[in-house]
Amino acid sequence: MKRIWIAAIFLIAVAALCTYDQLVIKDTFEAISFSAEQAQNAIDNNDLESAAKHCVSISNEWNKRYKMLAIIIEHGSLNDLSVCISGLLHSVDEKDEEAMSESLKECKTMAQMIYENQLPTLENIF
Amino acid sequence: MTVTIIRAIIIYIFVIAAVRIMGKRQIGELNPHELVITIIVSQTASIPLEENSMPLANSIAPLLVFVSLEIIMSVVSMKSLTFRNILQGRPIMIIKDGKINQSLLRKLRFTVDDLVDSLRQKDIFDLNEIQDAVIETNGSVSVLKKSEKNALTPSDIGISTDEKSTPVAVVIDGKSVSEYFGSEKISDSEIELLVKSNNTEIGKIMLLTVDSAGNTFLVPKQSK
Repeated sequence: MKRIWIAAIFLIAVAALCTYDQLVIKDTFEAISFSAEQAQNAIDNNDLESAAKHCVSISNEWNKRYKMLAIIIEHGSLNDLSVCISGLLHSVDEKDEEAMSESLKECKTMAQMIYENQLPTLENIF
Repeated sequence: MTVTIIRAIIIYIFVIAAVRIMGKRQIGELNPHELVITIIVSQTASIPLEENSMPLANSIAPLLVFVSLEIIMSVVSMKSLTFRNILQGRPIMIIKDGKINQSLLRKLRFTVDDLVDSLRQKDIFDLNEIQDAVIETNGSVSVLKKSEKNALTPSDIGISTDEKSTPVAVVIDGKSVSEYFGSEKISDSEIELLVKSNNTEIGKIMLLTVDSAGNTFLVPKQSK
């Protein structure tokens, strides 16, 4: 009977890890999407300063969550988004509105792809 | 490279723990589903070694799930005969009263060559010696020889013998072992007495066994 308890503990641990995995990914995607939308709205309103703040906040959120995400998601897609966010910061430094807008769209799309690829849907399972 | 080595050590520990938790079986005695699980566990464990970008959790979590499911399957198998038959199948008597059941052989896709091969591995070269033969769930063949073909035993000729117990190892490679089979206990002082009665020292002994009658068997260490 001891082994059945070990099995139960393992399954609970795995279920907890899966739940945590989904929560972290959802949280990250929502944070990046929100900041990206705020930044895009600021660019549309010609408020470069506010846009830059939101872009920096995207980078900070990403850096904060990257370590946890790297434990659960394949690094290739995470690194692609990291590169995209670096490009976004570069365009902030250059004060290039158009480049910022493009980078924001790219980052948001990539974050969405990562999020959707991790969802337990039939397409992802099969 | 360093990352790969560290991962290899972690995976090694997990796989050893997984195999240990799943229980003791020789490779040759595994049921089909146990063999499949063993192969899957080893394949899953090797994935992070091939791809450093793959998180270790993506290999360890499935491994834990496989071990857990295997334990649950084995517990359910112990409780339910029906489930056990579904999972492992049933042993099948392929030879009854010396006659081969050819329809069962065909049904099992077990050729005569396979049968004769398995019997030879049991040191049976003449099918006339066989009373019954069973194909077990792991594919091995168990044989009951005809009584006139069996070696003579003391009970056959009316001789009574004393029962012997399993000798227990009390010294292995120069160190005393007080609990070899887990439940058999012998104190260190008793082990020392046994060693002294053999006019030697513990450090010079490769193997010392003792049975319930007090009979000892000693293998001294060879000098290098």
